[in-house]
Amino acid sequence: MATEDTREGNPAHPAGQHPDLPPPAGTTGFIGWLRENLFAGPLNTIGTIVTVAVLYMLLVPLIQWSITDAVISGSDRHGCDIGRFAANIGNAYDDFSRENLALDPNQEGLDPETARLWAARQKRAEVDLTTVGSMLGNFDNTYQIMVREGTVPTDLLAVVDQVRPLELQPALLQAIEARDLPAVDSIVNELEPLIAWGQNRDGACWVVIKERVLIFMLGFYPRHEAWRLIVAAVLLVGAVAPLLFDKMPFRKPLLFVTATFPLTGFWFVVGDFPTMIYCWIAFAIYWLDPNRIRGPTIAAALVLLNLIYYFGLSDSDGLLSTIIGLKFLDFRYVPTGEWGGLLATMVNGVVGITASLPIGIVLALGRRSNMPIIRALCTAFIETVRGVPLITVLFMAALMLPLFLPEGVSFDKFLRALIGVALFSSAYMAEVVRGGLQAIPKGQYEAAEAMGLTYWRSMRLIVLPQALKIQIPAIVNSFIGLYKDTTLLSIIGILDVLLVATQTNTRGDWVGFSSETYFFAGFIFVIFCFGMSRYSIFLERKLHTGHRS
Amino acid sequence: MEEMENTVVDRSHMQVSEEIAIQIQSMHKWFGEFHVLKDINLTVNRGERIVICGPSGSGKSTLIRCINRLEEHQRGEIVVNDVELTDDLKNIAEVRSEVGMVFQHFNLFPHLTVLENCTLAPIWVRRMPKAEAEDAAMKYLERVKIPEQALKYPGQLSGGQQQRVAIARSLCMNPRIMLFDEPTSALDPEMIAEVLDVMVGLAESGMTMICVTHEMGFARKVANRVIFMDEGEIIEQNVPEEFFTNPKSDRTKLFLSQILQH
Repeated sequence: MATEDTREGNPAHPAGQHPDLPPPAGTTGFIGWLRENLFAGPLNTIGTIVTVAVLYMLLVPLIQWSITDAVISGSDRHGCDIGRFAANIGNAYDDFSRENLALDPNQEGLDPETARLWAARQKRAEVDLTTVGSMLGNFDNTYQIMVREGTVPTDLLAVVDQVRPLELQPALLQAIEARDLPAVDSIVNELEPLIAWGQNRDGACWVVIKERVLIFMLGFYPRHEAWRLIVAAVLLVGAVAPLLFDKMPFRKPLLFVTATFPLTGFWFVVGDFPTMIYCWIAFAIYWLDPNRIRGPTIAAALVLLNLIYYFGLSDSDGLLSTIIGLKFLDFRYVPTGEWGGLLATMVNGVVGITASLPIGIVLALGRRSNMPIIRALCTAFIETVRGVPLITVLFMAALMLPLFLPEGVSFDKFLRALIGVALFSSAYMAEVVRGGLQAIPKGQYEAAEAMGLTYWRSMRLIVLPQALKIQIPAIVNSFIGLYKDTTLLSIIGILDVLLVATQTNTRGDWVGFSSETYFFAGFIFVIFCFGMSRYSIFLERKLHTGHRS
Repeated sequence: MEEMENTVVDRSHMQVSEEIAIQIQSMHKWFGEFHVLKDINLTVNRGERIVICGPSGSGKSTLIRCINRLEEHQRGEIVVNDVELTDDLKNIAEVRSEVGMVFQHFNLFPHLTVLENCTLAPIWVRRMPKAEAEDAAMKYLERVKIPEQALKYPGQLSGGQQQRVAIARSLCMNPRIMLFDEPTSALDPEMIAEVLDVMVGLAESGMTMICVTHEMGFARKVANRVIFMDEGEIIEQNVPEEFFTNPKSDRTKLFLSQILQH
């Protein structure tokens, strides 16, 4: 009782019996969140308003260009051009300055500097005025082509019926020629519905992407073989998924897809290697045999069969060769010179990523090794490769390496570039992994050692899981960097996504749509890089096991 | 402390056998130029409970770390369970699988659950089937009184609980010798008792133990020998009663006066 008297405030609750009260209004829920995060103080509020304004100014034109004003129908450039021509009649007319046209650079008493300036302005006004006419001319030409092809959009037909631009063109050109501005004004006024129609169709021309999408995806991979790439892509998803998510359904059977993907992926994409199936079956038997007794024997037999075929029978056309060599399953061989687009980018990215992590780990362990020669070799490799630009490595791989190889020995340029990219990124990866290894307390190494674990087991079971976990953001960072660096392959003539975009821009029938092609190429990269980034965040959350001890 | 000094502890039920577990002969170790262990001679019989104490930097941790080759000695000879420690990795692996070690900072593996921490070495070093290893691990976790934490991660446990897991983890390998490197000095005071209790239980079960610690109460209660080290040398060793009441060297007296003062 005595304690209650000393307390100020609500005497209804004796000490130690205060009930939980609801929080004050406006501090929780959506309003509370807004208050706390967007309008917490004057500075915060100004920041929020400025940010929203900037986003609005950036996003509205972007959405207009890419969606609302974009052209997606049609199969050639005329559908895109015609909207731009119509809109440009208005744009040129708006740009045209009649004050500048009225300037007289030859006027008496003008100093030479001003005279030059006036002349330039007048010239500019004349160009704008002529452009009004030439844009209508362009429009009419394109319109006539589209009429012949029967591809005129229905809404344009109505506008043309109303405005009759073909009939206005001679009058407009005449008026411009005569500098009869009132006549020009009235004609442009008559054209107004057409200009308005054009301004709703002068955004992105996605037709170019639609028409070139196969080249963006496959390069010059034979179109009738493209199904193989779809199979390979599906298998890739099936191979990667069980590695990414350890609690997914059907993980165990999918791991089989993962383990065999290097073989199957190669077989489907490159072709000409059906006896790969033997290794595949051998692996499956080994995998499924729980006692690991019959499995290895059968697997060895199949691999042997494969070798016999390759060294004994592959050149003959006999029945035995056909059967053992599975020639009825033979896919046409597609040389890497025909690969391109996303296929080339993906092959480089996937091989680079899967190779660089293990090689990087080995290099990092080597650099921390107690054995001085191994340490020196690994350090030298890492420092050399890191000190050289990737372009140099790629030029080495593409141009110089063949010079060093013995005569008669040559291997694929794509493969050489692939090795170059993989080794280059593994040097970076090694440093990332080394950073992780250094962050592991010495006690972890000692505890593992004291248990009697061997070096490799303590690395695999104790040190690397922790080191790699710490470095997930940096590792994924390297992966993303590597994935984007594959665009440099275009410099040595490998047709990656970026080079497809560049080549499209220089093709006669698609000149002038570089915004669209680069936007699309960028979009492809954003999708994959964003996916990797999100996965890294997911993984960090999943592997979080409370505070470090 | 006063009270403890006058208590007579009965250790008769903890038997020491004639068999030699560890034999160290004229062993020297240097860290670079620094002579950290000087002419160490020590024989440990099976069932002995030895407490090593001494000022910091006296080489006591280094000494027990030499016993499982976490540190390499440069001269002399160390024989553990009849296996001599040399550069031979097979010998080292053999010794390590028979010698458990508990560290000052626990050194649990933070990415593995308590149970996985305990089963890792039996599965990978002893090649024990997983189910069997888990049963054994649960048994030891019960012995250190935390079976209910088996599925948690070390980061979710208190210091005392972590150290008990570390002890259980070592016991899972069924070691013949246990080394303790200041097992309680990183713990909050209220957690020291729970760890010492487990260690006392272990001593009573007949385990050969070498323990670097400043817990003199523990030394009195379970040790059959207390070793005092200073500047890399074994200065004095004796049964605890004699060691505490009648230290012979001045350095021992000084050290004891410093740690028993308060």
